[in-house]
Amino acid sequence: MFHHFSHNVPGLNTTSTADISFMLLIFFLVTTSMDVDKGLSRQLPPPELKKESEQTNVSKSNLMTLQITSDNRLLVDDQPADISKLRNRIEEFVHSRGKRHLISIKADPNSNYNTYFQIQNEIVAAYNVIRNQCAIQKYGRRYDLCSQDEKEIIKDLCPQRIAEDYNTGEEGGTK
Amino acid sequence: MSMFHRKEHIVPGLNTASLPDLIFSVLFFFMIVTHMRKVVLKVQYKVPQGTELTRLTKKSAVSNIYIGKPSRDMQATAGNTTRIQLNDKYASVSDVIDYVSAEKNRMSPEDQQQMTVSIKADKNTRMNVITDVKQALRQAKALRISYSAVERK
Repeated sequence: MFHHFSHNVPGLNTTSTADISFMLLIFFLVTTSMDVDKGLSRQLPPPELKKESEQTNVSKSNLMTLQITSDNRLLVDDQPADISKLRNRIEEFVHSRGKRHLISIKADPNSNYNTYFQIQNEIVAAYNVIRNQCAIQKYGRRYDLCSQDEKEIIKDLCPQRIAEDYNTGEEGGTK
Repeated sequence: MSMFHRKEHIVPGLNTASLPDLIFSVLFFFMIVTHMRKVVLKVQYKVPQGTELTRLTKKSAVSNIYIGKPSRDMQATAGNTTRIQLNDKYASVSDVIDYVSAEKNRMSPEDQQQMTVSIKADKNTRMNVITDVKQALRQAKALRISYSAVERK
């Protein structure tokens, strides 16, 4: 009664798999982004620190003031200066003063973020050069190739001493 | 010229059996190197250019603050002045403290140690907004910050 036919099972048709995976690929291309987050890393001072008490310990000769005016120009020690020359100036300054130096940044509330960023960038660049020199002198290799402990020692030798004036223009500060 | 015998032969069809595998490997490549956009941007910003940039390595320890002018389709409702965006909505400076504390609590203890706040600000922002945000971050004890930027060519 039951006839058992022997028949071949046809192979699964996989021609559309490529199309399906193309769809997935295009979906991921559209919904995701590839941009890497890069930025200038900075450390903010803790909130309880009184800036005034620190500044009194620094004598005028060890202080470098960077000021950004409301029309986005840079004043170094109250003299107009070029941002492109700032890097060498900071390097020289930190070299001659060593650990006692202090850089003070004052940005006018109406100035531009871009100017401020460029100055921060130059400061970081100058410190990187100094730390590199220090690392080569001490360990014979570049700062970024040093181990974590060596980096701590170099950070201790060449600290970044920067004071920022948080002038938001609301406390009746300079215009 | 009877040396060359032209035989009639059938060219076999190109075997496309491995095509899905190829595309799958491209797909997996993209799934690994890209990441999903988490927030809908409501502000438009163009970050400044710098040379001394470091890469933010740990995605889970980074929270973002966007600062810029409202995007074009939002300008009718949100106006034309610089706004701060946290997650998916506009916020004021006083919200930044709450936001950062909430972000900090969300993170695992080892991430909290190296929590970084990435400030993605438009380069034409006025400094008073940036300074306000930085003061708020100090209050919230999120002291590691990163000024988001692109590499100068």
